[in-house]
Amino acid sequence: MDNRTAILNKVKKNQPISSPHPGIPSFDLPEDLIERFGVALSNIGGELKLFPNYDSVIEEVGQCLEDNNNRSYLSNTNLQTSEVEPHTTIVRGEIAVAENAAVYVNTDLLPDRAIPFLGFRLIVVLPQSNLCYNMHQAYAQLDIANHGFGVFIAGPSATADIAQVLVRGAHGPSKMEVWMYK
Amino acid sequence: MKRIKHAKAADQYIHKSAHPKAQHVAAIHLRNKRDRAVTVIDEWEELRETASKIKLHTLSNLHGYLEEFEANAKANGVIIHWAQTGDDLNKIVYELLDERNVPYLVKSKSMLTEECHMNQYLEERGIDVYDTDLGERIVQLAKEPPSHIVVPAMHKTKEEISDLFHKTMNTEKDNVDAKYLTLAARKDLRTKFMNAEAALTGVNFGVAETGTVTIVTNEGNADLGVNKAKLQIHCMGIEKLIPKLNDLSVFLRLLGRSATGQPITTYSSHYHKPKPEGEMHIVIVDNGRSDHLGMEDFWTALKCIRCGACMNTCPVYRSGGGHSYGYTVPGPIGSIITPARDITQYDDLPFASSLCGSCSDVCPVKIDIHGQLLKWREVIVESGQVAKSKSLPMKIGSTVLSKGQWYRLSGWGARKFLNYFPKLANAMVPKWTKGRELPNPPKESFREWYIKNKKNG
Repeated sequence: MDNRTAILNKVKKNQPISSPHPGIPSFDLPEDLIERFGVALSNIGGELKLFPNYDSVIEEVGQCLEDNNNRSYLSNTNLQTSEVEPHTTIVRGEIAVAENAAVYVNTDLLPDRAIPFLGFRLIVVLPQSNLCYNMHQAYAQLDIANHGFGVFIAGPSATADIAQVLVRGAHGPSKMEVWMYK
Repeated sequence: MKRIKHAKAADQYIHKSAHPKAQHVAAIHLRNKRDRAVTVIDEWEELRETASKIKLHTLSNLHGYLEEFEANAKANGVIIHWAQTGDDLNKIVYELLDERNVPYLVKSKSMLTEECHMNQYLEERGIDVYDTDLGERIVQLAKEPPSHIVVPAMHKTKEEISDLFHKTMNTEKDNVDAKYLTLAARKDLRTKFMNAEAALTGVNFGVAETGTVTIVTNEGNADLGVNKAKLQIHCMGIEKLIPKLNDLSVFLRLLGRSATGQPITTYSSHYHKPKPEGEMHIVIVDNGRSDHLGMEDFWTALKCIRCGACMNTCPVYRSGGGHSYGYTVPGPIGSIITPARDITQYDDLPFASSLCGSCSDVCPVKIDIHGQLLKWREVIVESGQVAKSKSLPMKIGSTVLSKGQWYRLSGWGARKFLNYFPKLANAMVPKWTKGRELPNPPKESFREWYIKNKKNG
């Protein structure tokens, strides 16, 4: 008997009497989402920047790109990664979660899936209207199943594996900013 | 296989190791962070209840969910393999790497591959393995097993790590700055990441309805490895499945807070399809889990989502250290999983507990851990696998305690004996009096006191 059949047969024989799926309860939602998101993000070492409109974001991105080590994937999505790691990477976010400051990035929109994990500073740009409160809302709104690879990112890459001392930039970026516009 | 003797190993750790307090300090720190992160969530208990029920539902319908997961992952272009044993898993992975002439593997933290001793298997066959999680890398360089499932090098001090890094990657001698050491490891692994042809990870959750592999890390090491390498392999125990993507919302709210007190881990990744011109493989592993599923009193231990909260809160784990359990998953949860895998090797572990119940209180999926610890003791005692030094006093005790007169007589005798010959009494039970003394005997028993005082009014 092959491994697959053997495992499935054994599971079928041994699995206990079926119990129902409980469904996911709906919980109370607070209103001050932006404030909560900002506090949650700063608690985990990230930074929230608010912009009055998308044009002002683009203006700041332009200034940022004056440095050759910085890359933006907001409009120029065909930009290839180079041999040299960038300093700053700017990508688009799809949804932000106020409770835990996680931001969802769909890497299908990027030329290379590794982009959000490279360099030293990651900036994720998204509109304020895409802010929700908790993970239940986020999953309900996203179409994750159709993304080849998608990731919630909450703050900079971190580790405390050496004597519980928090160090940012373990393997991914050591800085993370969320730029939100109205 | 060597029979694990927990008390002996813990004694070694406490009295013979250089830093017996390191594990305690680290674990209690995480326990406190967990408490702060949990109390701010009003619906915490409701989330735990929901998570528990989702897992019970999945495990009791696992056959269907395994088939559904396989079909959906295949539809996404993923190649599925099945492994009955750890050796099957190692063979499958080795063949994938060997057929493609892959020189080395970058691996993110996977307790499943630790369980199956994959590193050793691959290295013996000429394939180098680089563990990329910092804690995992530290124990790999030190040639030690992990002492905790979330913080593998928890038992090591920064001085020990500084020394290790100086020897293995030539960092400055005696530089104990955690940031300096962390960045040295980052730099050291960078070229391995950038040139990797194959990457391997464990799996936190597999989603049946979509074939999703979900992996959570704080460092980003899994994602850097997987997304740089052409070949990606994910190893998943059969119990990791959940039915729907939206179920993840419950587990991700619970996992980070329970593990390290973070609202969510830094990276929560969802892998569906291979990258353009890449290959994605998932190995579904049994290795004793399907047998465990059939154990009426114990199958709910398979709900575990590997947060480590039960370890951090356990007084026995914190004192005796993670290595004293002799298994990849230590602590209270390890002590109820291991006997289900091999009762002769791990029959000592259910006794490595004070049964205080704190493990069950913090468990995010509400496993009755201390209840199962007690139940395992019953099973082990009934199968006659307990030493005479433990079983004989229990037999005598049960006889004496079941007869009022015998109880009163032995109580009286013990008080007298302890009063006149305290040193001899202590010496008669040397194991019990190790690190503690018998109490001073009271003048009278409670019964005598009660009768006297009741008469007095």
